[in-house]
Amino acid sequence: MLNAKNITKTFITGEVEQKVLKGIDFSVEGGEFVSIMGRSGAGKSTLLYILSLLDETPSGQVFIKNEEITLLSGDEAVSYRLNNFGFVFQEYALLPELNALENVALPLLMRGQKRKSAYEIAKKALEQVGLENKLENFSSQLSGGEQQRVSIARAVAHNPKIIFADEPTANLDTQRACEIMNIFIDLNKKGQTIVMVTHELEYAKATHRIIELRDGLTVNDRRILDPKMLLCKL
Amino acid sequence: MMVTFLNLVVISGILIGLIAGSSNDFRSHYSGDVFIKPKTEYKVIRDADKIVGIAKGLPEVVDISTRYLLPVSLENDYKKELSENKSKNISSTILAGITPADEDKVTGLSSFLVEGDFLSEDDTDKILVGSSLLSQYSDALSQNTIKNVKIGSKLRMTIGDNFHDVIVKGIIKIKVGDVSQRIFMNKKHMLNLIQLNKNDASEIAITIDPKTESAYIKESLQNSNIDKSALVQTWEEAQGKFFKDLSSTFTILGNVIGTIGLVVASITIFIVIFINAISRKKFIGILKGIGVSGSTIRYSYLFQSIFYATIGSLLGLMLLYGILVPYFDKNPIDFPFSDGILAVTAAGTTWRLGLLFLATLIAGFLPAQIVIRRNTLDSILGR
Repeated sequence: MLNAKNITKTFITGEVEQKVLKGIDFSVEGGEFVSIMGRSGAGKSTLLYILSLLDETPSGQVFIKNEEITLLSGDEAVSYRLNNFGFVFQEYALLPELNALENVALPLLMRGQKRKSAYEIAKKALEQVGLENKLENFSSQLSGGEQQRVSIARAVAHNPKIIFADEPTANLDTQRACEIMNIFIDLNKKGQTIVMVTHELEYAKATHRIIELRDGLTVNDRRILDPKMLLCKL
Repeated sequence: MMVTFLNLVVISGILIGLIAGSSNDFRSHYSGDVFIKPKTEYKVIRDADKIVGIAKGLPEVVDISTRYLLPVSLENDYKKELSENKSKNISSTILAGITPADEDKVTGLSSFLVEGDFLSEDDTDKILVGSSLLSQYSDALSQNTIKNVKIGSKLRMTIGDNFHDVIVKGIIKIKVGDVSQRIFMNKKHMLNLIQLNKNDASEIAITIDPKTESAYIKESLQNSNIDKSALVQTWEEAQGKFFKDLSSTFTILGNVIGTIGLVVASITIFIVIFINAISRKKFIGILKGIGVSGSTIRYSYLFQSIFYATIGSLLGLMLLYGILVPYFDKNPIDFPFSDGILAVTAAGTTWRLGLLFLATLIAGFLPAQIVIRRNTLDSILGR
């Protein structure tokens, strides 16, 4: 599904060059749930941004189903993201003027879907994450966990090839984080490919595979034999 | 935006209206629609009766007034003995011999009476005096004015070497200088005072049907074998180059002020949209992140600018045509030399509206473009 080759990234601050990624190679199979781990500054989020075409100045190659997406121009990349990727941000990234239903429906509308159909799909996606009673709520009227659920619903509503999640549980308490992880696990069980950045080993262990980064290099790439749904305390 | 629109239209409208008001007054209260005067090399229009007859034969001609002008001096207190250091209470002016009813139809002269009564056909030694000749109607610095003139005052009018006593019957106050600096007398009586050819005239003012072009009547008269001493002009030509230049000057001035207003409005829109876009750069980043294209975001900001321009212009148009134009039509601005109107035309307003929208579009496009071109990730992460 996804193939990354020799991904490098250098940040330049004044005259100081900092090489964050020093040549990462890996691939993700369709239906896989992969977690990328590493200490702060290891380059895991940077890698995710490059894979998902959010970083517009990468170095290296990213292939999706043998198509090199790193060759796409700015507008083509935006369009590719819209049609093929879902993104879950650490800070939810919901638009405050829109309610939950509208936030989820927006990418569908942008893809040219009819209003009625887009809203029906958005409603189903929100039901899938347990927010059927909060369709009309604005982000200010939702808890952190609920906002992240809306964000996940927005990411999955258009059946993307891959969902990229950047530390989706980092801003949540244990209970909410556990619930969010179970939503991802449930989605993955239905065949959704997910690449997630996390620093929580407990959550990484609930995925198929853990790629560990250190100092811009892959230091560990191991498979979890039996990933399970997490038991969340009530 | 509404204020900018009004600034664009009203300021130039008032500046142009100042001249337009003066021009309208000149036409309505002095020259008429077609004006005939002697050519430079002649002192009078000869065979004026024939010209009047031809004009009357044109169906589009409504009214005609012929005037005979003479330079005169007008003296008050002429019976008083003067001490050595006192000058005479005297003024030099133009005596216009008119047929009162005809003149009133063409210029509405009687409506400008501020004191006394209008001339009748039977008046012999009665005159109307323009207020600019009277000290009580002029400011202290005005020269060539006569003091202590009232209705019924007996004045000495000197024409060449002859003098005649005349009685003030009325005082005319009007902002058309050519009228307010004259005295008026019944032409019939004037011809009795001095030997004049009654078939001569100094001015002929003609009003025509409003649907007819002045130029058409001018051409018709010129083609009618009128005396070669007559110079036929449209009312615009009669006003002369100075008037036209003044009007152009004020138009340029109005456009300059309007342009400054437009620039200020553009900067304001730019700042409003820029602040809006900058404060929302994270959300613009999110929109791009989830796949909303830059052009869609750009359109939303352009729509926002157009919305401001549309609302402002609509309010401005309502205020302009609903309140300001009718108000200034009924209550012209009292400028010293004219009653200023608000000169706005549909074409001028449309042109300025177009300019405003164009400036707004550019001012909205630029900041949106600046923010959209930012790196998506930097916008999302607030870097």
